Amino acid sequence: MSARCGRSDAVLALFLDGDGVTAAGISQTGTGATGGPSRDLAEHLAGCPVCRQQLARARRLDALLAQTSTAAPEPERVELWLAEVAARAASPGPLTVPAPVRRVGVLPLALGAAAMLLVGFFAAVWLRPERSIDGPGETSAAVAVASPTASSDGSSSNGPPRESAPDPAPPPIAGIALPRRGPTPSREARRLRPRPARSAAELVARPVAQLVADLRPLQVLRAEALGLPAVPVTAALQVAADRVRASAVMELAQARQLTPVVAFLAAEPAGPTLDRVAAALREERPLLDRLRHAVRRGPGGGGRRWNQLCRAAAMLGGARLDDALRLAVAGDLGSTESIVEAQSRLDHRPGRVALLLCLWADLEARGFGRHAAAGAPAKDRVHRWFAGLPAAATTDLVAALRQSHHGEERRRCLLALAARGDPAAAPELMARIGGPRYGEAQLAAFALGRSLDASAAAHAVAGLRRGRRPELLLAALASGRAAAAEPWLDALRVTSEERQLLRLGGFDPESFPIAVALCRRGASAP
Amino acid sequence: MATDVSESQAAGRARCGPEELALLASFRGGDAEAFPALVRPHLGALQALARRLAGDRQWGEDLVQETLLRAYRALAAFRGDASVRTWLFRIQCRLATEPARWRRGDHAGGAPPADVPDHLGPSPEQGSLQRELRDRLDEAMERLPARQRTALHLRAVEGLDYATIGQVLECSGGAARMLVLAARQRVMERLGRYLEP
Repeated sequence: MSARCGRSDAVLALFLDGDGVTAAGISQTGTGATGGPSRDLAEHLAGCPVCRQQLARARRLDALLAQTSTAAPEPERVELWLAEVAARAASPGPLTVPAPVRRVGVLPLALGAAAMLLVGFFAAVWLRPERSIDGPGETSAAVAVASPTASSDGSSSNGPPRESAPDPAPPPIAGIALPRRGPTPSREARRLRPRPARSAAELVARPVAQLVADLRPLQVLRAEALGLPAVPVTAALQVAADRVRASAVMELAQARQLTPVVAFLAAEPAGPTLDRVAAALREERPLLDRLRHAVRRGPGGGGRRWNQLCRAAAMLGGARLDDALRLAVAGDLGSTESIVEAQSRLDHRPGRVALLLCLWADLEARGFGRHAAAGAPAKDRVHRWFAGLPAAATTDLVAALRQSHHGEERRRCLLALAARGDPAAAPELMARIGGPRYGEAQLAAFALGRSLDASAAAHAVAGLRRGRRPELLLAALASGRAAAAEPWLDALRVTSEERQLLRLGGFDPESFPIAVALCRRGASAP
Repeated sequence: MATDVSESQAAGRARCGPEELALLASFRGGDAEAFPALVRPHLGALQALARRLAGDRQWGEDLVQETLLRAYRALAAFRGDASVRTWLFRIQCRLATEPARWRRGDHAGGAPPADVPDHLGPSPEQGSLQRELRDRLDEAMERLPARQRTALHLRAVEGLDYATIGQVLECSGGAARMLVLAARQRVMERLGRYLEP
């Protein structure tokens, strides 16, 4: 893209847009060529690799744009549009097409500002206290309130009674707020002067104290009548404060205020409030769209803010946000770890397992976990992503395993199940051990070894007796240090060291095939 | 040369065809059914442009809806100097500059997207690459100024000539050409290696 040619625009105009007139114009102004512009440009194109490349890229761009923008609207949607037009057209409304927005020039703006200043100046002069005293019938309430002189001498007797005036607003013009001369302000005027606002603590302290006072007799009654321990007042207050904060965040979210919402998600500790707010935020589609666009824009100059945006997106989730996140982190291990950590702060997060599997795939596609020097530790860390997830993750992983048509995807699911070690996955793993692909069956056995409880071990022993891939089942039992495996281990034709190795168990994905190879030596004959 | 260009632009300007004129006359005569017949062939193009202008599927649908409503109300005054498609594009481009007129906060009526991304297909890597390319393209288009984005879309997707694009954007054909070239250049630079064959 660094090389440029002065005739590329003309080439594109002619060969891409078919605009011979414009191409001739550009060509002539650009190079001074005369006559037969098409032939001239064709000859130039044949000998200019830069123009050829530009043309090829522009053609591909146009094709891509056309390809991604030609989906026909759904018939239901079309009918909905037309029906709504018919319905809304019946109601009164503007009958003209909106005019295009035109930019206002600097001069009209300056003139307008000057006119406003002029009007303000004359208004200030006209509404001075002296004038309000001279013309009693023309004094506005605001001026009367702001001018102690006018209110104290009683000359403006035809105005409304000042005592009944509610909380006075600040005077509209600063120049008339204070009297220029006259006696000391009267008591009434002092009362009507704007007071400094009370501090938030002062406003809040009294109701909270009242709340606590009201709670005490109820606590005593509850303890006496029901025999229940007293609820800590701080806990009750914390619940109330959490609700107020959640409500405030939702109001901001409905107003599409992205920054405070992201700040809240970053600062709020993990807990029910965070879960509740995140669940409600997932319904705020406009806010999510803003967040998605912000994530897709990339870090630009603000890496820290962008990181916060990504973490917020990771907490909220959803197909479109997850896609944007994957593109944003683009297989970078540090960013990936950051968003994985962010999503783990929530108890429930839709699409969590799918996102983690995709991120894992992206990392592998870029060399982590397989060939890079940092592969092994990175892989271990990836396995740990799944270990601390809530129980529902096992169900999601099993579902993903069943639905996947891709071997690598299934391999990741099985390793994730192994990392979780949840016995709930044991039936599926047992079924996989008998499956058609041996490599996958071996991984399933490895995962089973990590997920054994008494019931799963009994099922494995039953399978061992049936003789379907006994070496895998025995290796799984040995890996899980199941006592039921002892007779089979004793019957193996292995050395004492090898038997001892099998009894130690706790294999990892790399050493598990060795255990399987050992168990193959006579595993069917206990 | 200037004369040639202006003549070419004038000649290139699309006008209403006889069928559209007949439907227009029918609408002016009180036949409300003529409106759907008039706009239906252009809804796909309107939707594509709206998505590009709004940067969002659902807001794009809102924009199409509002465009149709405005067109319905103004159709009686439409003289037929441009084709209906060009006229609709122009309404949509004008509306797009004022999102407060057509954006609605509540999108509950639309089908909610699935929470689980569709990555479990037979070839996830291939799907992922396609998605990545599409997203990069969308992103590059979103970063263009609105007029450049519209001009490039109308040229590449709708295949309009510069004169008609100028009609839509209310500028000359030459200015439309500059917008298309500048937009194309920017997007190609942004996409970089993604456009390599």
